[in-house]
This record gives sequence, C-alpha cells and structure tokens, in this order.
Amino acid sequence: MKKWHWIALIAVIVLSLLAQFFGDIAEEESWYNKLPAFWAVYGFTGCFLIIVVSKAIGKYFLQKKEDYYDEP
Amino acid sequence: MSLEIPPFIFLVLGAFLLPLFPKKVQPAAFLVFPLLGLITVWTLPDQWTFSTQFYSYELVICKVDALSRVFGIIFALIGLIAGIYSWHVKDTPQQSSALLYGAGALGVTFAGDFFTLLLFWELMAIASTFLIWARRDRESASAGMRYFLVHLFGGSLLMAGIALHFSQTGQTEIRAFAPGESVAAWLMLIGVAINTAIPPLHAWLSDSYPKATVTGAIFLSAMTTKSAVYVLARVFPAWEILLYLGVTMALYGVVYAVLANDIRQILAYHIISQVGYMVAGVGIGTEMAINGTAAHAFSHILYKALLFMGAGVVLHTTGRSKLSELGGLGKCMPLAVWLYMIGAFSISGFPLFNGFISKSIIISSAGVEHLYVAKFLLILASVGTFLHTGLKLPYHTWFGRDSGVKPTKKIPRNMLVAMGALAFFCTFFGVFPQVLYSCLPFPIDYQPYTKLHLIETTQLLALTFVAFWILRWKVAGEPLIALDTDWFYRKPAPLIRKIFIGGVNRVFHVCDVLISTSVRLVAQLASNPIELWQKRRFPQRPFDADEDRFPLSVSLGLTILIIVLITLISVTK
Repeated sequence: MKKWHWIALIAVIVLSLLAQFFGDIAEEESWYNKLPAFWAVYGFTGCFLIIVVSKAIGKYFLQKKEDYYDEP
Repeated sequence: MSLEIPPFIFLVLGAFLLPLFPKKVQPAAFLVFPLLGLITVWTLPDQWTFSTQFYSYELVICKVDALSRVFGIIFALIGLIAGIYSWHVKDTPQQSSALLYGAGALGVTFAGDFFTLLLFWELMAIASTFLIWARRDRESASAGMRYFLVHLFGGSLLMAGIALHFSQTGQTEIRAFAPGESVAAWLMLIGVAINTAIPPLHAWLSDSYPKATVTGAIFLSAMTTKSAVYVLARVFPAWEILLYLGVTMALYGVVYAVLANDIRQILAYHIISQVGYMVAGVGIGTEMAINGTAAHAFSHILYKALLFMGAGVVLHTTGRSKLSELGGLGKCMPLAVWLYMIGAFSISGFPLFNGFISKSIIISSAGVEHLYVAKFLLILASVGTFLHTGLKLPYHTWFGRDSGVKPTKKIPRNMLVAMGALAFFCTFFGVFPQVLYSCLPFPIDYQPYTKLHLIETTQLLALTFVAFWILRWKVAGEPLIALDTDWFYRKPAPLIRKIFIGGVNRVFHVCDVLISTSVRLVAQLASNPIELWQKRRFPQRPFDADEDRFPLSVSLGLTILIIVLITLISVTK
C-alpha cells in the first residue's frame, strides 16, 4: 500500500460518512440508516469478528494436519 | 432466425461428435455447440413446448418461460466462454464430458416434467464426475468417487420423491409445491438440497471442486448448484425453511473460507456462501426475491467463473494452489490479477459491477418483508465475501510475502481472452442493470444506484478493508485442513469397509478354505486311501510306498476270498 492509496481510502471513507448528512434519506427511514457511520462500524466489527471467531473455531475444533484422512 | 429445437440437443450432439473432429479443429468445434445452444435459448418463443409420448406418459422435454430462459442463457453462455478458456486442452474425453454436463444443465432448466428432470439430473452427475477424474491423480480419483456417490444418493432421494409424488397424485408435470405439502415434496427437497450444497449436505462441493481440472472447475462452478437453485425457485418457492438454511449457508461458507488454504477451496466455500443468498431469496419467495435469486444466479455464474479462471491461471502456471506456498506472484501475471480483481469486485458488490445490482435485490426483498435479522446476516456475509475473495486470496497469492515460487509455464492467451470476456460482462451488467432486469421472470421496479445503497456499500467495504489490513497476517494460509461434514463419511469409511466388505470377505475366505480342504481330502481318499491311513498312523515320517504298502499277499488273499464267496453264492442259488 503506497501513501496515496491510504489518502484515497481515507478520502472515500470521509466522503461516505459525510454523505449521510446531505440530501434527504426519505426513501427508507430505518433507524440504522439515520445513525451516522452505522455501516462503517458494522463493516469493521463484522470483518473483525468473522476473522477472530472463525480462527478460534478452527483452532479449537476444526483444523487438522493435511494427512488427517490418510492415517489408518 | 429461430431454431425450434430443445437447446440441450446441440450439446449432446457435440459430446458425441467432438471426438470425430481432427485434434486441431476440436477447440473451435467445441465452441460451436454451446453457441448454437445459446442462440436457441435466446430465440425460442415464450411458452414454446416440446413433448413426446413415452408409453402412456407424456414427457415434456422442453418448456420455455422467463425463469428457465434466464438460467438457460447463462448456462449456454458460460459453456461458450469456458470453451474458450479450455482452448489449449488436448483431452477430448474431458471436453466431451463438459459438453454433456452442459447438456444436463440445460435439460434440467427446460424440463417440463419430473421424469425428464430426473434424467438430466443424473446425466449431470455422471458427466461432471469425469471433470474431476480427468485430473488423473490419486486425490482426484477418490474425491471424484465421493462426489459421485453423494450425487447418486441425492439423485435417489429425488427419484424416490418423484415416484412417491407420481403414485399419490398421478401427475408428473413440474409445478410449485405449497410449503410442506407432502412427504414426496420433502424427499425431493432433500435431493435437490444436496445439489444446492445446503449444509450439512454441502461437503461434496468444497471437497471435490479444488481437485477438479483447471478447466473442469469452471464448468462445475457454474452448473450443478445453480441448476439446483433453479429447481428450488421453480418447485419450492416461499418454503420458509429455505430462508433459514440460506442465511446459514451464506455465513457457513464465510467461516470456512477463513480456514481454507487452497485458493480454489476458498472460492468453493464462497459458492456455498453466494448460493446461500439465492436459497434465502427462494425462501422469502416474493416476486422481488425470486427475481433477485435469478439475477444473482446470473451474476454469480459470471464472476465465479472469472474467479475460478484466475485461480486456474495460478495453478496452471505454477502447479500450486495452496496459499501457504504462494505469495508475491503478482508481477509475473499482472493482467490475470486485474481480471481476477474485476471478478472479486463483482462478488463483493462494488458499485458498477454486477454483484452490486443482483445481491442487493435479495437483501432489499428481505428488508421489504421485515426480515431484518436475515438482512443483517446477509450483509455480514457480504463483508466476509470481500474479505476472502477480494482481499485474503489476492493478497496472499499475488502480493504480500514473496514465496519465491515462479511460474514455470506461460499463461495460454485463450485463458486471458476468456477472463476478459467475463470481466466485460461483469462490468456491463453492473453499469447497465436494466439489461439483466428485463430478462427476469417477474416485472421489476428496482433501482440499485440509490444514495443510501452507495453510502452503505462504500462504508462497509472500506472498513472491511481496514479491518483486514490490521489482521492480514491472521488470515494468511496455513498448511492445515478444516474438518467439514464430509468427516462423517470419510472418517468412518475404513470401519464401514471393514464391516461390510471385510466381514463378508472373511466369511468367503473361511468357506473357501473349508471347501478346498475337503476337496483335497476326498481326492486323496479316492486316489490312495492307504497313503492317507498310513499318514495318520505314522505322522512323524513321510509315506514310503515300499514299506507302507500292504504286502502282495493281502490283495491276492482278498481277491481269492471274493472269488470263493461269489462261487459259493452262485452255487447255493
């Protein structure tokens, strides 16, 4: 990741956060669409949880050596 | 121009004619058949029906409507593009099986009665198995056998359901069942669920697709699960259980994709995840949701084939497909990486790509029906989709740590051409969604590009990226496998073999030994009873004819005795 990649990413995030406050969002007045940064928080925690929870399930239950099925 | 023939006929013909072409023309000849199929599917008039009399039954071989047409178009189109991708393949039997497999998928899509459906269903199972076996190594051989057995089992359940349905109602025509209508419907549902890869009946997919040939995997990724989705949409709309199963599927695939190491297995688990959206759409069952299912199946086939092609390029050129062995390959295949990324943007639902315009129909339809839990879980699954197919897989294959692995072969140009064609379609339908929407089974008034939807998607994707970047080494490949429900038939297999094959073999062995021993004894008794008797008396020394034989006088005496006896008997009479 080069420096300008990060700048672009931050710009996109800021824009999407600001966009929530401009124009009308009457088409679907659900509570979560009115919360600022709702989807950002959902995306971040969602991704975080997917990785951490899946890795934990894998580590404690599911992951085995590659020759697991070859053993007699 | 309108060719009024059932479209599968061209592909069946192709499968049998292809071996007759000279080797050099075969790749080009291959393309002709799906192309003819595509033209036919495109031009057949609506409600066109082709039926034939089979004894006293009327088989509706082909029946066209909007739902079957949209699936038919995509199956024929993907057959054509996968044909370009496999232009360099010299393996005629494999290519013939691919055509036959496509014929099966088209046959299922246009079948008008359950018997025809079953016939093509089994054709698909048989033909597709060869695409796994064609890799010709030990792993593929056993994975292919497991795949085949699971599909035979699924086919049997479907057949049992159809037979029961027929015996109860006397009907064979395909129609939608009311939720929980009959035992027959449930049996059919389980049979179809196996092909749809609904957990816990899904393990055949993630087990076998990574072991198929590079080109065979493209056909596989497109046809089996999506033709099953078509049957679900046609026969089981609005079965509520499918909503729960679909949402579970969408997340199940995501969890396993975190753990998978083989790049094609990551993609395979994301087929399960993506098909989850479609199954959930069928479960919701409204016109909007069924439209979403059809649109998403269409989009999914395009971008999933593109992703499998990208992974196939890596496997073809380096001979490797495990993330733990790959890394830093990007500089050697920049074009392939970009084309793959278009597929990844599409599956992740980036605006301007086709996942954005189809996945959202299903998610919105869940919202319209006030199924908020389902909606949020499906959105969570799409976070996972971007995480794996858009970030984990490309980062650890083409970027990240340089593993030192370098391509040993050049990328065949036809592979890139096929990927380019798919990338074009993924973008085209993303930019002009109305083209796809106009083909959907029900009238649709849906606008994907709303401000709200764009804000939601941008925030979700951007922050998914941030979370991935923080944890990127946690999702690096590990040389491990994750157990899945195939454990239940793979692990006990040796034991079951021991009971059902070993036990029977032992009985046969014992009988065999008994019979051969008794035959030997009888033979000895008949040929030389004295030897047998002497051996019993003196087991410590071998039989010696000179010593152990009775003296000559014994036999002479016996002969004389018998003569005397006979004489006496005849005289006294």
